[in-house]
Amino acid sequence: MLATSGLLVATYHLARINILHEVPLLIVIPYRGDIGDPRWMGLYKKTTEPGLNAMDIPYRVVSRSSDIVRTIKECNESARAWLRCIAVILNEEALW
Amino acid sequence: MVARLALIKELASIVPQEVLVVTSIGNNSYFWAELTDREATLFHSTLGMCTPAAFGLAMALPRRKVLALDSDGNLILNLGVLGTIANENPTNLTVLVMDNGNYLGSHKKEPGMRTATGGKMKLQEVAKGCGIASAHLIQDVATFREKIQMALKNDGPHFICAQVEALDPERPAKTKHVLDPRENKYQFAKYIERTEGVQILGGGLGNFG
Repeated sequence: MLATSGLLVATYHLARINILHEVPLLIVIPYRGDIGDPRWMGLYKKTTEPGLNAMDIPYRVVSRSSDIVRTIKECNESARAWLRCIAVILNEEALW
Repeated sequence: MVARLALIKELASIVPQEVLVVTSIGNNSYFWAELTDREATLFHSTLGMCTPAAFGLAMALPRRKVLALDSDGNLILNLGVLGTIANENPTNLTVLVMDNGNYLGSHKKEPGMRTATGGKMKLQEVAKGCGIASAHLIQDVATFREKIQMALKNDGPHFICAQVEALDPERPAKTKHVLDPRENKYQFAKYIERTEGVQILGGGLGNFG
């Protein structure tokens, strides 16, 4: 589980784990700065999804609280089956 | 001051096969691969990842001894892990740091830019300050042997800072194929699966344990 800022800090390690070692890892990240976030963290709108794409880490954005558990389970299953990192990023009702 | 090669040769003669060893990138991995023949090694951990990976293994497998063969530049990037180790207290973990006081010393004829330990920083004091009581500095082979044997025998966590020469003029001949990270991952994970009776890597067909 990473803070939104923590994703940026961890990019080297995640890129290496995902692309070089191909180790399964489930990553859960709050989507601070997404449209609708009342805080001033728009920086992360510009960096979170492009960062995940650059590291070749598939992800799902979860907006409804009722979808959190199912999505985490599905992403975890796929991460283990594919031997890859997969991220779940939480916004809207699921976060703020 | 002592040569890294002399210490890694000594380490290879002391560490039992069943101890899980995580090695940092560079000459720690290369020398260890040349001097040992064992499945229980995870190679090529770089830029702050060696001690944290060993810490994770120690927490996941509390009955196994785990040894991080780390280096100063590598550890300094992620120094906060020492505080986490002290707080979580994995008694089966030993962190061994080959401290050559500079970056990129492994492959240079001249030392690279010095690390903080090339100045005033003392890693064994940092470890003690973080709360790791068993923290030691060694500068010769005999003390190294004594501290490693102590760490393998007694509960830790242990932190051993080995002050080594800035460069590695002596190195073993390249005789082996050092596994790449993917090959190494499969070998290491399969070894743990076999010896611990656990499932780590799935077969891609679901039904994980």
